[in-house]
Amino acid sequence: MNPAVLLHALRQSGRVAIVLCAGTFAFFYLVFSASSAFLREASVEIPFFQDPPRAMRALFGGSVDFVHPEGWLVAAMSHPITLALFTAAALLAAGGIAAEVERGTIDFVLTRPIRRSSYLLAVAAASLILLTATELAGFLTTLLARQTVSVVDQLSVSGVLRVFVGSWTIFAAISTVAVLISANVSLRSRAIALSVGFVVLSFLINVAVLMLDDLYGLRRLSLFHYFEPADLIKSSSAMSQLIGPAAVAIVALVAAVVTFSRRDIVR
Amino acid sequence: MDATQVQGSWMDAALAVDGLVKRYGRLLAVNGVSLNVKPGEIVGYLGPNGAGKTTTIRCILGLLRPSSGSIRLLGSALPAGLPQALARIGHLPGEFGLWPHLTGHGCLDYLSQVQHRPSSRRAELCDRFELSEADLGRQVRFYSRGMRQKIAIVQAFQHDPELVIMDEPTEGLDPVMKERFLELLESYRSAGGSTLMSSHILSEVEQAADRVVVLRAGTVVKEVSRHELADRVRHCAVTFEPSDQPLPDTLPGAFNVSRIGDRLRFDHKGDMLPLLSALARLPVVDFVSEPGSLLDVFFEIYGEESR
Repeated sequence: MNPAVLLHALRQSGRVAIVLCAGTFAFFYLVFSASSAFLREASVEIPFFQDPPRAMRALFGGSVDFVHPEGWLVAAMSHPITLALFTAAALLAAGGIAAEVERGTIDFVLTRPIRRSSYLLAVAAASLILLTATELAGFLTTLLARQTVSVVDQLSVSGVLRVFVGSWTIFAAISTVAVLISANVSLRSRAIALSVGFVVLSFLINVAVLMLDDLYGLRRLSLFHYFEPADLIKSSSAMSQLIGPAAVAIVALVAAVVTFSRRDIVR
Repeated sequence: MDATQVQGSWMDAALAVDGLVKRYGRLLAVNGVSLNVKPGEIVGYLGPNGAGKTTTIRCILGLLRPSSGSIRLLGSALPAGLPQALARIGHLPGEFGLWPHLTGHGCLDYLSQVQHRPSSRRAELCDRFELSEADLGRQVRFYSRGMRQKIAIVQAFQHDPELVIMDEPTEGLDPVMKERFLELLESYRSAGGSTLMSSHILSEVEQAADRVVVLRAGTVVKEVSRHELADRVRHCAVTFEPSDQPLPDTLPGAFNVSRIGDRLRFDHKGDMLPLLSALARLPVVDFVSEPGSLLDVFFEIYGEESR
């Protein structure tokens, strides 16, 4: 991995990464503030909150629980805004390879004494660092909320940590798939479109599987199937589910190195 | 030339390409190109758009994978020796972009870091191309085409490479900067540097190159040395004193002769001495002899329809 390329990729995405971290902080703190108010003021006797409709549970990744702070953390992790923030963080640097090919800047870099694998691994590392920063912003905000927002203090630190590790693993897999896509196309817009398409398709498959019993066999096709924050917050045994996305990340990264090393750099 | 000599020249060349073929599916972009650049030599690489010049250069630099053929860069056989060779090479791509949010200094610093060689010539080059500190401190998205080209030239030479490969290097430069660039090439050659330069500006290639390789439809169709460039067709005109004496219809070595009044126009190639001796015996008022340009060589190969 080339350190100069790594630093360059981080610098290129630095400002957007700061915005994503700030957005994550604001959103998570807002969710926990809302949860505190809800848990203190709202009646939890209403049947809707005790047993939400299946479609709603499917949209929130299989579990909805508004009567405990853990349920609010799960809802926050599955919320479209969180998915958008973490997806953006995962794709931010990953799309950089296609952008450099499109812009013509890659010609300057790859005609220097740097192996393509070294270049690609530096971009992948930058992508994972930006994702880690954004996930860390969410994790630290949750810890802050635990100290400053009433009721949220019931959350266990280890449970919260497992949830964010799980989320990181899923989005790390998405990030490496995005690197694989970016390494094989020459247009930034196409790389982003294909990567976002992969995330949306994966999310929709998971929702469809949770809504329709007939589609249950397709569940393993979705990365989000392997991320069940409600289970992760309860026990560490649920961490074994993350082996699937971890394997996807490794395979995607190896495929990216192999294909990028062999491709013709043409615009 | 025997086999040992061939092998020797192949091994000694700064760049040696042998039988390079590049296919894109069914399209044959480069078809068996062989060329070499000797140490301290400037080779011009000419051809019309789509002839395969850029494809050849991209194959040499490892950006494209050749379908077949062999390439040797500064003694290293490709692809195995590419990283070692690239450390000692400068490259100026034809169509390029820079990182819009970086300053000129930022771009040059980044490229210097990935080069792993000190930018020993940067200050001198920036001075030569009139890139001030204020210019270099601005983001490159505010640069003109010419300014970006200057940055590209500086990055190609800043680490004092042994071989420079350039694709249309003077694109966007004004005439003064073009002249500075040609001076840079001359001093680089004097210092022992080798250059492969593709261009469609024939006058620049003619001025700078020791040898010109002409490409057509992916195949090398002609190689012209500096000596051959010098010893080429000259366009001549002789004006005679008005006289009752009949003027000669032709002169030694002349061809394409035409006469308008007392003026004789013709082309000449080869030794000028017999021509000058013949003219000395005639009532000549004026004699003009201009070398034909590389353009003539180019159109000789590509035909008049290219004009």
